[in-house]
Amino acid sequence: MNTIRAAVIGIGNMGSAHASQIYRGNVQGMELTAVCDCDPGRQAWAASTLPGVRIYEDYHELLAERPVDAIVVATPHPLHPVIVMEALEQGYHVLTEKPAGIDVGSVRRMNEVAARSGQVFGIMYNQRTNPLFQELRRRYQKGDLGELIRFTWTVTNWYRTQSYYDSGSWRATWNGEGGGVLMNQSPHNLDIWQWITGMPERIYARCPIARFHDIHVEDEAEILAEYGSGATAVFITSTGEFPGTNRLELSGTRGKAVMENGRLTLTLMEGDQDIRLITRSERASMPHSLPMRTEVIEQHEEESGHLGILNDFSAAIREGTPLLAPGTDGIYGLSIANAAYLSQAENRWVSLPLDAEAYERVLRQRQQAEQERQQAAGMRGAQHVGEYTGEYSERWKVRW
Amino acid sequence: MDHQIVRIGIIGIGNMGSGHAERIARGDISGMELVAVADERESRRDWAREQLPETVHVYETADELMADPSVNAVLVAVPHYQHPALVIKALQHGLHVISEKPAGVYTGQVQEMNKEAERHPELTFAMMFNQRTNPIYIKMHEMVNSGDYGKIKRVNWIITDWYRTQHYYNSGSWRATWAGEGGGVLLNQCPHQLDLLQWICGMPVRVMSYMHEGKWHDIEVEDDVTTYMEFADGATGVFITSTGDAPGTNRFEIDLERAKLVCDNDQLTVYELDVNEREYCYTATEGFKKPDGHYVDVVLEGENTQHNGVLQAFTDHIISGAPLIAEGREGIRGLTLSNAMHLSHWLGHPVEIPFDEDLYLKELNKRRATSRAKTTVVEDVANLDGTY
Repeated sequence: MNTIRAAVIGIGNMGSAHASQIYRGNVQGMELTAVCDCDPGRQAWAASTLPGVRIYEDYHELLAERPVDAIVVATPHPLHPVIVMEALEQGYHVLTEKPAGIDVGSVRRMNEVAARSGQVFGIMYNQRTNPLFQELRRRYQKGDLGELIRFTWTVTNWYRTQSYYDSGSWRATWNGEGGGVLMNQSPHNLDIWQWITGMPERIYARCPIARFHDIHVEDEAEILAEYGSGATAVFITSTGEFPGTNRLELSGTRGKAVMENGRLTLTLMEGDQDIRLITRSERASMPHSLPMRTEVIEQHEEESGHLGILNDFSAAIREGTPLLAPGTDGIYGLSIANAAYLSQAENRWVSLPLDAEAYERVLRQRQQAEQERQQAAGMRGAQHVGEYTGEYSERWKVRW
Repeated sequence: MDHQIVRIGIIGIGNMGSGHAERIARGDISGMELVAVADERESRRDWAREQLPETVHVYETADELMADPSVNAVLVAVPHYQHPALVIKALQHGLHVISEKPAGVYTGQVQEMNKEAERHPELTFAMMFNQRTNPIYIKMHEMVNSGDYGKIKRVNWIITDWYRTQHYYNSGSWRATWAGEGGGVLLNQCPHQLDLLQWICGMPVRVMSYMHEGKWHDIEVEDDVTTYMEFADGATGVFITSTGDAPGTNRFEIDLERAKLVCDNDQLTVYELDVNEREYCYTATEGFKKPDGHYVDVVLEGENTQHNGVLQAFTDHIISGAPLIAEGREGIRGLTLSNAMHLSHWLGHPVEIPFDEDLYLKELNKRRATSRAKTTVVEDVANLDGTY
């Protein structure tokens, strides 16, 4: 197949980096043909930085004129499903930024369109390219750790100051981002969690608003979860703690895995024994030593990150290879986040798959209250102060 | 009474009591002498006659032991339900008393015990919270309560290295039943952690807990627990425990405004911030900037004296008024946490502390009424050295 002609819709922090990388030829088999942004300042940036690339103000025009084969969507979150659906329906291959959207209902509709379209649809889950996550997933799914007992992930090293939250009017709002830490910082973690273990079936969460910052969304969350098998999980995140912790633990019936400080440590039962068998047959109250072996796996190669996902997307279009992060997978992490919000609002266990309408009512209420508050305060849609370096920030990698 | 020597009688010489008896009898505790033991089981009395010095009086009942004029203090090491009643009886007999953990099974009975203790300020009443002698926990207690590091933000304790086999649960008819023990891992293995949690971090005001009964073993009580907690000043946390994980984890993390403490696998790591994060958050002018800080070399002081340390402090308190490791009346706090977790799980929603104690007892009694008799009991004194 010929080189894929690509357009990036939304050239803010993320989109300008994607556009620059494709433009410089860093994505194999893909060239940057067009960009689209409604902000004149961003259009001017594109004109000076990406000579020769067509610039659109309205994505409808771009889609209608068809100068490209593939679309990368990097707009504010609520627009993701809207643009993705239109692009897929019009026969484009699409890669969307995370999160897939801000409410499960519209993402479900997007996934239905994607399934019908037959086009390649990916999502920018760049942390899936991390070799340690891949190794843990491979080992767990191969059965090395046995069946899941519990999964515990504390990822509280997302520290942000108040200044961060003051830097953009859409940031950390129900209308702009659809929530706080669970929509902006943690979508990668929520995805990696379900990517490794599969989805839980019920969730109880506390994610109170404004614990650490002067904002109207949550800046921390504690999610308790249970799987169909009866296995359990706990997920803890926050932007208000420093230095914070990033420690993932998976306990299984054949041993446990801990990821911390950029290292994966597996402690496995010798001879692949299942602890449940020992529990039943052992003739002592607690065996003095359970024979275990330890394996320490360091991360030797860099994660390929955003470029890895872009290359994977390009290859999928050109060669039909399977995607590392299919776009339809975006619904899983989002379901956990939405379920957490619903659980917080109603202080109860919430089952998955999520009752999308129940969550939509909660979201609408919060969005409306926020609009009224902003109007009362005489706020206008102030412009976001971005970095626009056209580079991928170190911050977007897995950080230990 | 001559208080230059504490002459102790041990009520209950099963797993725990027999270990205490042996250590006291061989003179590990200076100023304490083992003068009597009591156990309803003939096999345990036979053991005492064979293994303990001939001078030790062996009784069948607690009443007989308390009536022995050579006894001036008792150690209660019988199944949990009986702790408060025996402590009350000992205090009424004018005896100093130290009780094994937990203080009891439900807080109602422990309130009664504490009221009796208040009536006897002249007597020493202590709890066997031996893990409070661990220099790591002492250090964490000091650091958190010094005020130097600001308020607590988060407390996470994963304590899943309590692995037990089915054989363990089969050893003892009272073990891991609602009627005999009043709960599972929370009542038997975790009283130490629940006590340390409140000792170091203060009492939570709300818990949300979910558990599984008999998930990893053929038992009717919980062997897998996940709890979310909230503290009065807004701190939050989780407490996760199980007797089915192997190898399991013991990792206790406390995040404060100016420090992060982690005790993982008996190693304490401390990170100290140069500024209070709460102030930094609102004064920093860049969104992604982080406060400065550094790891600190922690110097731990003293030996990890465990049971002997608690017994020594109990003895010294009686003789000279030296401080106890754990006051008897503090036993109610960890039990309150444990009861609140059970109640939250039974009701399926969060529970505020203090909770409705009558409701708790009603719910517990429902389970005691249908508690199933064990069919495969192996009377056995387990060797649990080094596991508590």
